[in-house]
Parts: sequence; C-alpha cells; structure tokens
Amino acid sequence: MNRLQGKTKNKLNIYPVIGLLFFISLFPILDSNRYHINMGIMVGIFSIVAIGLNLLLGNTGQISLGQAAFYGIGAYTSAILTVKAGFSFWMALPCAAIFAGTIGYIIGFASVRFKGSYLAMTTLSFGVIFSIILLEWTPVTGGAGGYPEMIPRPSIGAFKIDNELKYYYLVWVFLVAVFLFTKNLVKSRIGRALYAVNEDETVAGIIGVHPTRYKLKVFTLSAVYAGIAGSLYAHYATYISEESFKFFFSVTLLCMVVIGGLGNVWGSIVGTAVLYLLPEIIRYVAKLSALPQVIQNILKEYSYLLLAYGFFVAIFIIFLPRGIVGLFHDWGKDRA
Amino acid sequence: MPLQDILQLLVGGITNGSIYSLVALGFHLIFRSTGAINFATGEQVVLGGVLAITLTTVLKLPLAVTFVATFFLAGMIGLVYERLSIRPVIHFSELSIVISSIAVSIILQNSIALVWGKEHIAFPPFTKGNPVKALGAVIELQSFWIVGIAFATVILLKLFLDFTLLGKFVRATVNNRTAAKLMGINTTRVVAFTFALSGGICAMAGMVVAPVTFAGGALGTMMAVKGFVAAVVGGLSSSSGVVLGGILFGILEFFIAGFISSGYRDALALFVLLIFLIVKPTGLFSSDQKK
Repeated sequence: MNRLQGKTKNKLNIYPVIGLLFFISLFPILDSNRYHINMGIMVGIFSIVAIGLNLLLGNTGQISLGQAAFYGIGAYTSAILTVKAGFSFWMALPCAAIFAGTIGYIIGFASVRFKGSYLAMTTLSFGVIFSIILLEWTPVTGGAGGYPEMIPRPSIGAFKIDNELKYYYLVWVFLVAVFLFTKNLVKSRIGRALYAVNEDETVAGIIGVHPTRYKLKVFTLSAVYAGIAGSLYAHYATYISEESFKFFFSVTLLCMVVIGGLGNVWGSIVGTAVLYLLPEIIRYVAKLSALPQVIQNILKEYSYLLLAYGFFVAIFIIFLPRGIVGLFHDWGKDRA
Repeated sequence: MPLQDILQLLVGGITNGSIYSLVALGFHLIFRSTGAINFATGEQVVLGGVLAITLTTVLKLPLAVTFVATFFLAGMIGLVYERLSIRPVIHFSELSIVISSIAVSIILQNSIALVWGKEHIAFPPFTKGNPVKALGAVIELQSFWIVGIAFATVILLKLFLDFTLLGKFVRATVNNRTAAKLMGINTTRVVAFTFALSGGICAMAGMVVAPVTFAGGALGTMMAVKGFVAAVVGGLSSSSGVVLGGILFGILEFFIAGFISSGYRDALALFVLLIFLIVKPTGLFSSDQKK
C-alpha cells in the first residue's frame, strides 16, 4: 500500500498554501478573459470532488465510480430547493451536501465491508442508474431536457454574486476551505487511524481502529464533497441536465486523481487542472497552428482524448503510482 | 396474469439471464485468480460483438468459424491485456489492479468507438425465420441460439476445468494461488490464461447478444453492471453459483419489469445488488464459507 501513498508529514507546509492563495487571487486580475475565468471556476468545482475521491482512494484503498452521481444529487437537490421551496443558496448548499452524504452512506453501508472493490462496482451501478433516474423521473428532474427552470445565482444580503469574477472567488473560498479541512483531517487522529487501516487492516483492528467504520466515514465525506461541488455548479451554470452527471465524468475524476497523485491533497488539484486544461490546450494549438486538416480533425475527436486518458492512467499506475505530485516530491528529495 | 404472459416473461428472463451468466463467469474467473474485479469485462463483451460482425460481414466467414475465431481473437486480446497492464501491478495491491483494469476499459471502449463508430451496429439474427409459438409464448429463434451457446460454453468450460491438466491448474490457482505456486504450478501463466479465458467467454456473450441489442455504443457498462449483479446474486466465488445467479437475475428482472414498470427495469439491478450485499453477500449458491 505504501507504494500508492505520499509520505505523511506532521507539519502542514504553509508556503505552498500561501503560494496557491496568491496565485488564485491574482489570476483573474492578471487575466480577465471571461472564458479563462470560467475555466478557473470549473477547475475549482471539479477539484472539490477530486479531493474527496482522492481521500477515499489514497487513504482507504477503495474506489468510487459514482462521484458524478453524488455531484448530480448535489446539483439537483440545490436546484429543486431554491426553485421550488424558495431556499436561499446558503441553505440549499448544506442540504445538498447532507442529502448526497446520506445516499453515499447507504451505498457505502452495503458495500464498503468487502474486499475486492465491491464499492467500486456498486458505485458504478449507482452512477449508471442515477443517469436513468434523471432521464425517467421527468416531473422532478425535467428529464432529458434538463432542469426546466433557471437556478438563481447566490447573494450575500444585497450583494449579488452575479458575474464570473465574483463566482470565481466564491468557488475558490469553498475549495480552500475543503482543502484545509482535508489536510487537517489527514493529520488528525482520524487520519492516523486511516493510515493504520491502509497499512494493515488486521493490526488496525487489534489496536481498536474499526476499518469498516473509517472507510464508511471517508466514503460518506467524499459524497458530501461531491454534493457541495454539485450545488456550486448548479448555481453557477443556472441550468443543469443529465449530460453533466454521466458515468463518464466519474471515470474522468478517477483519471484526474490517479494522474495528479494518490493520497495527496495537492495531487487532486494538480490532476484536475492538468486534465481539465489539456483538451483546452489541444484545441487552442489545433486552432492556432497550421496543422494538416487530418490531424486537426483527429484532435477534435473526443474519443482520442479519452483514449489518451486511458493510456495516461495505465502508465501512471504502472510506472508513476504517486502521480505528478509524487514526481516533484521525489525530484526534490533527490536534490536535497 | 394469464399463464402465457408468465411464460413469455420466463422465456425473456432465461434468454437475458444466460447472457448475464456468461458475463458473470468472466467476472468470477478473474476475481478468483487475482482477487480483484475486472472493470474491462463490459468492454470485452462489446468487443466480442463487434469482432463477430466484422468477421461475418467483412470477411464473410461462416457462422461456426466466426464463433471459434471470435473466441480466440478475444482470448488473445485478453492475454495482451493481462501482460501489459495487470502483470506489472499484480503484486502491488488490489487497488492498482482495479485502476489498471479501469484504464484498459477506457482504452478498449474508445478504441472500439474509433474503429467501429459510436453508433450501435445492427447484426442480423443467426438464423432467419418466424418465431416459434409454444404454449402461447412467442420465442424468437435468436433466443435458442443465446441459451444454447451459453449452455454449451458453460458445459465446455466445466469439462475443460475438470478433465484437462491445464484446467486443473486453473482450478488449483483459483482456489489458492499460494498453494498452487508451492505445488509447482506456474501461477503467473495460469493467471494470464484466466484472462484469456474470461475474455473469450465475455466475447461469446457479446456475440450472441449482438442480434438482439446491437453491438457497440454504451452497451458495455450496462452489461458489466448486470453481469456483476448476477455474480453477486449467485455468489461471486462459486462458478456454478454465478451461472445460476445469472439466470435467476434475468428472470427476476423480466418479472419486475412485467409487473411494475419497464422504464425502471435497469434501475432494479442496483436495488438487487444493495439488498444482496446487505442481507446475503455470499450469494445464494455459494458453497464455501464467507471470505
């Protein structure tokens, strides 16, 4: 198991956090292109889901292929509560998170006990079936056409978060909160218990750490994170449909986490940014350069991109199991 | 509900169930030999369908030859899959194996989409003719093919595992990899062989189901889900269990769809899975103790 983990450090290294905060807050000022700010928002939202998934993968060795569904539960719950029940965003978001967490708890309760990645397969079923429910349950979800009414943007008192720039800061405030919470959790008693479970379940059991209970907690937390992210997405996009919550998104998230670095909170953000920006960069290059038409067409085809993700994941899990972040880690250590 | 409707549902259930049985067998073999769930199973089913279509329509091979050729081609792809992505990580952890198999499933799915297109491809039924009527139930001819091929596959597999040396190696490895290794069996090779076998069996499922559901598209994920649920219903660690589980789940699915609602037929799989995992995680027909 060690192979998939970064070293657990006792002290939170404060400089990278400050660096990140600095970059986050300056980025929209340096680059006020709305399209780029939109990308910043989406990377922020996806990172929240990825952090939860990474906590699960890196610290309990369990896989979830249903994060897209929890993300969707968050989005739809938030949408329905604000539109139908007149909740404010600040009330709807916690409800969405709790609801996603509850469903996660039920699914985890059934499947987290077993060895052999039962959780992965159960969440996969859940992810696929969630899509069906979204499409079939038209009176509540709006069916294939998406949620029929416009989801309101949040506001704080009279201050309306109505443009991309403001929403960007809102999302990143949430992300930093989730980031710090997770970092602290990993360092806390719970984090050490998880470490013990991951190292050797039997020994953990003997010293009084109940492996299943901890796995279930972490899985539920990952569902809660996805619910928060879903709510943030719904109020940003103001329109949601089944397209955004397909099973394929769960797979992409898994790729993001593996490529970024398992068991490393930074890895979640790095992986998300890399995989989210990669298609954008490819598209940009394709548009800019005078590549032959054949290659341009290939670059536009989505399947090639996914194919590349598949190969990346395979290469990373075989040769670089600690992801991009692990690479930097080792590089730093060799130099020191 | 009149008897003929019940019979009709039973026929449909058994037909679909035999396909689930084959997929569940694919899961079972790899679960027992590596301890992990093979996430590329669904795509291997789809692969069988598209390979068979290419062999019959492009190369104009006769049906019998297509069967054998698809089985062996898919088996070879299974071997390559094991060699390139499972063997390098098999000693690290189960998590690595699972992630690796997910990577392969992404690769297979998109390769299939690129080579054969994203749309479903139609595959003519193996034999043309009017459906057979028996006791008021209408049975499509393809149903006979599906059930027949599934039965033949299961019986041949059983014979192979029981009466050939290689089959006995597989059984020994599947029962206890360490003990098998101590007895001088080259378990690395046997694990590779189970991947070939499982790939071949899944391809058979994909081939017989192609005329009914078409091939390609998003079929794979659903097949993997249903096959896995079938395996859990029967007991993932027992080979006869998964086969019976497949049939049983197929029948259950048709009856629920017939009595309650067909729109949510696919959603049923999740509920069956959750109930079984909570109440009877070893499955209905598993003979051995809880793992």
